Amino acid sequence: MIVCKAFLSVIKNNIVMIIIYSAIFLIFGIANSQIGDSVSSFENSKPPICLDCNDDSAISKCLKEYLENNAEIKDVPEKDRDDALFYKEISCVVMIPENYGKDAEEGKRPEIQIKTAGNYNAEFVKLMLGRFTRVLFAYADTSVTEHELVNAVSSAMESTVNVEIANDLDEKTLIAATNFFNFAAYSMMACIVFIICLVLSSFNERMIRSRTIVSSMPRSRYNFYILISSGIYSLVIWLALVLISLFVVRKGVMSDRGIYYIANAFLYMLMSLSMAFMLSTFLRQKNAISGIVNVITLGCSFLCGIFVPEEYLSDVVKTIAHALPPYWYVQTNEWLRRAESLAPSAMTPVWINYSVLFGFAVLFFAAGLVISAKKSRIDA
Amino acid sequence: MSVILEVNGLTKEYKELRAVDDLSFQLSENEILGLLGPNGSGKSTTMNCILSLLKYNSGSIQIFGKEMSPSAYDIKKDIGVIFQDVAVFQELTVYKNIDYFCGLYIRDKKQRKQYIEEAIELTGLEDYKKFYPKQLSGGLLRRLNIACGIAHKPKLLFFDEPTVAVDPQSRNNILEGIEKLRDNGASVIYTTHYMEEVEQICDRIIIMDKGKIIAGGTSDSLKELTKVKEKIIVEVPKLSESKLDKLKESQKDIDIVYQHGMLTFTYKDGSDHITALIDRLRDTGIRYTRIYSERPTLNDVFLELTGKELRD
Repeated sequence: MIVCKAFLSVIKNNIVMIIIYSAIFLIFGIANSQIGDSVSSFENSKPPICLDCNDDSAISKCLKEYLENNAEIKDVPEKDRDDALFYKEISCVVMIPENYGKDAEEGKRPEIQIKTAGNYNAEFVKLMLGRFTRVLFAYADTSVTEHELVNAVSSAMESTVNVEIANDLDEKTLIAATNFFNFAAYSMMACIVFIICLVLSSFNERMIRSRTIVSSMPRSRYNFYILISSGIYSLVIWLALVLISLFVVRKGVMSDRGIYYIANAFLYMLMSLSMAFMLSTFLRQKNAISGIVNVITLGCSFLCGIFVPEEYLSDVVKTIAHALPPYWYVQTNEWLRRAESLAPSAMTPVWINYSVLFGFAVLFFAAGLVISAKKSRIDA
Repeated sequence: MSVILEVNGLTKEYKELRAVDDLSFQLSENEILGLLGPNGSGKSTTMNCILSLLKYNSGSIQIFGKEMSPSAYDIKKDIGVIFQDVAVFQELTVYKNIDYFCGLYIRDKKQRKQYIEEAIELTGLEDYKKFYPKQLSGGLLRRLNIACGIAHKPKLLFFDEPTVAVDPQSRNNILEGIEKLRDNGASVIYTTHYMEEVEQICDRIIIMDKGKIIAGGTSDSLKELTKVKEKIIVEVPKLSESKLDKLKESQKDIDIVYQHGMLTFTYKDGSDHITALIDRLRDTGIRYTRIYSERPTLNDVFLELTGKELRD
């Protein structure tokens, strides 16, 4: 165990670097977890519209009242309406034709004309008008008087539906947990790959390596101790991440999805450990390690959707990202955020992502062993 | 004395360059064998081949009667190496460095502790146990390097120029330490450029050049190989041409050179020529202020055998 003891002593000498990376993770991880769309409460938005009412009936007044409650009515002169639409000052112009009330009462299905700016708000207004006319025409077939028709339509328009979210997790919680674990990919990889490469560069320094090769400790046992030591360090980093997550995104982690986030992070830790082991077999210069590891960790983070959301990445970048382990890690987290159900039949994408991540870990480890075996002499 | 190391027909080639050329030699128990040679003569390559740090093209290497190989851990446990460059962890203290390298051989903690203390005592590092390498002087670093290589009490030790850039006191300490190790039963291969070190501690010397052994034997037997048997130097502040010619005429078989007020007589056979020379100088009327005799040194042998041209 002398190798493990020396490994931990060398790590102790690099504690400042570990603290710096941990602090970066804590600050940005917590900040990142706080970002997210709040959809747990709703407030109706009122699109700005221009209303041109050419009918004086009680039904048209009812429609006007309905629109006033659900939209912001702006008074725009007729000659300026096109400009107002172009500059998005209003979303649409709603025109109630003459005799609209009378025609509706007689079951003629009169049309409300609408001129839009072609945006989301205009579609929203169309939906409102559609709802009103559907109710109006339905009651028009059964109502005897205009008064009865207006009362029926008014009460129908005023009714609301109470919505209860069946899932105990709101989207904000899931976004926070996903953002936290996504960002952890950068910090975990940086902490593990950088520090292990730095520590192993001391062990792999040419003369120290020569001394190790000529010693009576078998290479397999030496590699085993190095892996055990690196593994213990990586495990501590992973445990620290889990512990922090319990404070920062407790609700998400303690939910039924939490175990999958944590398992994903564990596999990512294994992959980072293997990558560090492989890189350390040929990264010898301490000064170069920082630069190369930063290029790898930051590059992966930008390409795989850790720093930049996936929807902003081009197709080419996404295709390249498939060849990088963090992509599969992020995909799992994003799937957990979006998933409606964690039923075994729906979990296939998660198992696939886990397998790919584990595959990368095995690949890097095998490559590290092969390179290490080839470098068991100083002329190799 | 039994043979500890036997090298037969060792050849190592780097593409076009033959670094070690059909090298054969032996090392006996309790012997210090000096490997001498100019830069690039193949000393370090030979050592690295013996230690299985380098693959070699042909030949055989037997240590303790067994074939040496990268996985011969039963042989390696009794080998210690002190490399030319200091091979220690900058992040570990003196004690922890020795503990680590000793721990690669010795698993028993109690035994290791005792061995570490002995190595520290032998190298005189008692006051520096808690120091980090960057806090040590060049000499102390060299001593730490040695302590790391000898702590596990190896029976066969390789020293590769361990005294480079070391002050005379530390050098003396190191050389005394190597002799102590030999006295305690270790066999040593010692490579260096310093002739006086080899003369001081080596029982036998091998001179290498261009990957081959060009001479071998004890210090005295090597000196026998040189054409120069005795040099007598006479300090003569003033000497006329006629007197020098007269002297050369009477000593035709001796090489006589007058330079910078020093008259040098080089004899290619015999010894104790000084009495006869004093008589000759008096007869010739040459007045001198000082006269002394010099035996050929290992340096003379080395330069005569390897040439005086500069090497890389």
